[in-house]
Amino acid sequence: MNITTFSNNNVRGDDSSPIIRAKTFNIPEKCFNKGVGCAWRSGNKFSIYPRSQTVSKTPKNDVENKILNIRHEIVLFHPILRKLVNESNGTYLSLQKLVDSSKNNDNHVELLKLSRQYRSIIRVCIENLQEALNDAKDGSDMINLQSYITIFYSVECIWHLCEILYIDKIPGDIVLPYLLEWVRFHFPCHEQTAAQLLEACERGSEDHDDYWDTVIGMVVQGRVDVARALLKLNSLSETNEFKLVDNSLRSMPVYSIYGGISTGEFTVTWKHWQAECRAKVTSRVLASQPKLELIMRLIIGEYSAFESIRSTYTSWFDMLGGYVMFTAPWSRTHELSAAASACAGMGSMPSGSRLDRTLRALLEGDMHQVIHEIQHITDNGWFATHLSDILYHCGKLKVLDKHQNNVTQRLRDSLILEYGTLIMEHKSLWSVGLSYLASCPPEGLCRAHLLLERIPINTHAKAMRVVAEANKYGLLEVGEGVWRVLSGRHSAAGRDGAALSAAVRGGAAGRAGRCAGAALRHYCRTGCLPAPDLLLTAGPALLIDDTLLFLGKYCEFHRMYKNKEFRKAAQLLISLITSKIAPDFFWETLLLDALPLLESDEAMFTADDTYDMMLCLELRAQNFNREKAELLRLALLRNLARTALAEKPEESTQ
Amino acid sequence: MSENIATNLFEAQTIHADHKDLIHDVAYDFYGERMATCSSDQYVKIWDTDGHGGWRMTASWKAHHGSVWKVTWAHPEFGQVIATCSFDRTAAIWEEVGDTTATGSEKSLRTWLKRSNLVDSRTSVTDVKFGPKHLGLLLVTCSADGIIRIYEAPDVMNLAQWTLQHEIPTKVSISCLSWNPSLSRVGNPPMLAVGSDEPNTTNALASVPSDKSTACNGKVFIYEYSETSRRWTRTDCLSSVQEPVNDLAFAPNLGRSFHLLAVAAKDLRIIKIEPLSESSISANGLGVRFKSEVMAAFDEHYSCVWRVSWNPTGTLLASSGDDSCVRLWNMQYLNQWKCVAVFKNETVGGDSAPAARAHTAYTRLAAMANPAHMPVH
Amino acid sequence: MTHLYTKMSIDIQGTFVSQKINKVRWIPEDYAETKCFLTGSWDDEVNLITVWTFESVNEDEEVEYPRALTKYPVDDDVTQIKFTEKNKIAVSISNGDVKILEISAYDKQTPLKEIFSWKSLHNYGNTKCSATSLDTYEGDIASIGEDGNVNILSGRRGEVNRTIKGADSCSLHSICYLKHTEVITGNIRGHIKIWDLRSEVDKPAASFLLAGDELAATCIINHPTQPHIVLAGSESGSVAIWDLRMNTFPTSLLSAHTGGVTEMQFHPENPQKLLTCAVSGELWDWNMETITKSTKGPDNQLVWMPLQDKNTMMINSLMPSFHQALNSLDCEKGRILCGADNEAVYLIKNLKY
Repeated sequence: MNITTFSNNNVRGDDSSPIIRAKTFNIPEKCFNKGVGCAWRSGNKFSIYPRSQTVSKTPKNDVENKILNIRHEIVLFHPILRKLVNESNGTYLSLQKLVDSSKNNDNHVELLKLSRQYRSIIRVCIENLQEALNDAKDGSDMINLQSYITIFYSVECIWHLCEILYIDKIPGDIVLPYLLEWVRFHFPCHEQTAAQLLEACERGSEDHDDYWDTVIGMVVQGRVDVARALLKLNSLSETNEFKLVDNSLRSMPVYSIYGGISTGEFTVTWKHWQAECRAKVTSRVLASQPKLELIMRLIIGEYSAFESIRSTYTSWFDMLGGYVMFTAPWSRTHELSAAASACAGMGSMPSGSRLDRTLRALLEGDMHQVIHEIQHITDNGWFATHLSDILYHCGKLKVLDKHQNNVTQRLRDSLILEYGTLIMEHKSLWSVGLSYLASCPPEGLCRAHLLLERIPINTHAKAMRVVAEANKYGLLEVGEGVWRVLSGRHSAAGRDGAALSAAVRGGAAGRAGRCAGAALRHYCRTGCLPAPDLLLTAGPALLIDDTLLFLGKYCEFHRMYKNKEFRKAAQLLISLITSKIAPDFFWETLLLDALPLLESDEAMFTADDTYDMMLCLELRAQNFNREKAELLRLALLRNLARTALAEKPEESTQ
Repeated sequence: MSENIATNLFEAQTIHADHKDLIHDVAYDFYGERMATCSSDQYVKIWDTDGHGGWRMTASWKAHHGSVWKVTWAHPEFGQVIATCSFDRTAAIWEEVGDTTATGSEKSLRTWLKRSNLVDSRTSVTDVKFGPKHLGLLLVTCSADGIIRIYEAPDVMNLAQWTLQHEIPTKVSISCLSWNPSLSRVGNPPMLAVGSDEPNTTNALASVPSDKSTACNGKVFIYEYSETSRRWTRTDCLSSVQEPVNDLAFAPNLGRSFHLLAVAAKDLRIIKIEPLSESSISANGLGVRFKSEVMAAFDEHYSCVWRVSWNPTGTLLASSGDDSCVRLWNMQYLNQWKCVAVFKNETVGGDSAPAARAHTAYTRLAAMANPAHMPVH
Repeated sequence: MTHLYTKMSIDIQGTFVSQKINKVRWIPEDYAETKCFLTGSWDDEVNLITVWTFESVNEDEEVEYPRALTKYPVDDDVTQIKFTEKNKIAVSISNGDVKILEISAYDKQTPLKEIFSWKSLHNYGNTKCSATSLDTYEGDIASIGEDGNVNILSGRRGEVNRTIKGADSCSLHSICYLKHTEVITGNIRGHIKIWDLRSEVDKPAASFLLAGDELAATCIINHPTQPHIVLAGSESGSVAIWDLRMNTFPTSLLSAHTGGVTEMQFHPENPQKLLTCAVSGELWDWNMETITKSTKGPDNQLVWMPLQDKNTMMINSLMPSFHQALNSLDCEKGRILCGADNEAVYLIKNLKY
């Protein structure tokens, strides 16, 4: 369960937050009014049941005995967001691989590529959501989809700015062109109207209701060319006032890092240009055209001018690009916070949304606050995890605790651990979650161990996959555990072959031995040996347990006997008898197996063999059926008699 | 952006347990796929997921001649096995036997056979727990007269045979116990924590046995098994818990150098127990083996905490109490514990919804409009 | 939705489909280039057999994306999909069911129609057991399961022709028809058995272990034009190749992939080409020419040489490093479909064959 998204997690680690803002939920149905008990089920599920410590003497009929199952609803498990989860997993793993393989090299170009990849994944996700929203019929589905779109739209917007400010290496660190691009991309207001007007290309466009808003909007977005083109469509565009403004806009110096002039030189020309513009404003030549005057006031960076149009925009970041452009176009990344606070301070509108706060913090370079804010986004930590990871690897995330210890890595790791744990809860996405946990050792692997062994195994195919994944990360014990559980399940159901093969795979010598013992008992009762195909081919696998080895060899004996390879069978039987690995209960069966061989026309056992068998018989006679023992004694003696005679001449020749 | 959306979503589903009296315990199996419930009605019920988010009762039987206090699952490696303990002074081990009845229908009730009845206690058996898998098939019980009993099944395939390995008298009433799930390594022998619910009357205080040289008024005791002496000995008494204990639970170990123990008493406590190195144990001369530290103490349940339960990774703790609230606690990345969600019974009036059946779908829980309106006792 | 990667001249186009794909199959067309394909998912709450078509979103766009036409839900994992006829598929499911479904010849949007269904064909008595795979031959189906049974079904009449009960004491994981009267099976320990279906007794005609590692034989296929050439893929990632006329068992085992081999296919147009994919996320294109051309047998037929190491073979990796299991592939001319555990389907174009 990923709780960071709704906890009052203070990333700074100070305990100053006075109230803990834990969310409170209503338990429906008024089920419990005395005490309650609780029990965890799995990662994101638990249950509540009524409980009282005092026990009534007589059973009541009106007892509350409802059990309430609670589960955390995880938005990332929505089919569309699962695509995001899977695709971003690929990017995340590429990133880890990149930083692992290029420990000391400068890899910011690759990191930037990966950051763009993340953003394109988000955009694809938004597209998919939008598509689904268009097709949606159910009201609550639509509300959900709409809210996911809002969430991921903000996520991309923040990520983009973050990329500009912290991941990209901007030439000369002159951030303005990038900032303008960001504003245009995310807050494209008036763009459509401008395009329509330009396409229609009619003089007298000022009759359009939004004409002036559009022109000013273009100025604020820094699209000077578009603004000029729009002004040309005004029926008064040939007047001196219009020409003056057009001229001022046209002559605005634009800095380019490749333009061959230094920032110092540029600053001088730019200030000169702005002074000229300012002179025109103060001369009041534009008094008859208040809109044109407003444009001039904007381009000389007059705060009150920006403030006056603030109310026409939904947020202060619409104006940020223009404000920087006309006050300090040479601004570097770290100098943006002044512009941000200037813009945010305009107007009386409270700028309290999370997006506001996050962008402010971003522009101010307060990464603690950024992570703190994005942890509250209800995307189950997807954004916080991936963004802080890439920022961490860019060396741009620095978080200190109250003792000024660097806890950056702890923060990053904790986000990845929570995210991985959350994703591992899903029936299908577990392997994705696992890859996150595995990238965060040692705690990640401990968590992975606990979660992997709890994945329900319904088929051998799933078992093989879980074990392969566990082994990939060195969690060999998980694999063994999986096979042991399966072995137990099969042996309880009497499937000896499957039980044995699983026990061998799980390296469960004891269990394999007990399975083998059970099989031998079964043979004593029914005369049937289970799983001969397995036992006859098992080879070295049999060595993990003596009883299993015995069972395998005994099975071999049966095969030889059936194939009428009596001499070989007799040899094997003797070695089984003399190795003394047979379970106690099996001795009678084992020795009696010699009976037909002893009584065959040809002697199968030497005198020594016969002595060995006699010894075994006498040592264990008390466990034998008296009649059978007698029968065996007789056969052994007879065999001894004939072999002793047959072997005698050999001895004499020696 | 997201603030207009409920910032975290929980869903709830109601199951009618159909017990005729109070439910005392609910326990999930290792995978969270099966649920066992027990009650004062002397019955135990087993519930299975139906694969579509619902639950279906697959077994129900009268297990004891008194209230059944606790039910617990063995590791699946040992089969489908549960243990129960009861006011009738016994603990019992039950095994589900394969579907030999050829009914063909999966809805058929499963059969659970009593494999063993542990009758050594002379008083109510208050808790029962299977040991960690790596120790074999072990079972521990505790009883109201304060005796801890550890049983072992020498042959894991024969659940009928249990031998009483250890009997540890504590001289105080024991209400709950928990195995430390950490793998035994050097310096990490098998470990148990037990909690006492002995009331704190002046008499009781006086009669608390003094352990070794240090008298301790604590209600939580740590026992460890020594390979060399083959005995369980009390190696610590947590003096930080002085109120009667209702429940306690060790957190799953995430490879930390210390153990975390959650204790439900008058308040909720999370206690860090750090084994000391051999050299510092001999240095302190008192045989003190642990450094214990209260990491968090919460009295948000106002009156009394009944149960504590960890999630499988030990990163979240649920606590419940007399205030009819369940709280979730989470360790933040700088090791502070914070309450992250509260589940509270509706206090507003109104008819309760009609009784729902076991297969009811999940419904989303509404967040309380203003949590500040929580009644304060 | 879809991303393009280009590796040399090969185009890889991935589409995320929100379910792990266990099987992919092109739906053959008679006269046109195939546009439609099938996927079967696994390891999800509800699994689906989905019919897809490739189509471009905008008319002027060249890239085509898969769009789902119809979905057929199944209770558990789809473990195998094989065609029995042109528009009929046999499907094995991990709840023990085997089904024959019909794809409409006219409108692919029509829901798949169940023709025959053998409920719990594979079972442990009353307990569910997975039907792990199947193979088809001229309308007949041979299915296997964790119960160790082999069932021979008639896809036309919907009857169980024969059951080899306890064909294996362990779970079976791979099966292949060698001829109409002969199947080969592989189990979880890599125990391979050849069954003569005409034989009255339930005893294999031959059997051997794939390797000493006791790992599963995950897939078995034979050569399309030389059916006596048999290949078996192992859970260890190895591939065994042998000629049934020379030996009943493989003389050598080639360590190939780093994870279990999930599917193998000879290129339908060029049987010199073998395609394999694996749990380790690799998709390989093998040039088998070097093996076949080396020697001629006594009857002047090509003889497959035992392989010593994979360096002597031409192997081309078709996917850039991939972090999740590739479960299935199906090749049709220059296009390969691939189903993966990262809940995506990949289309690889411009394969030279």
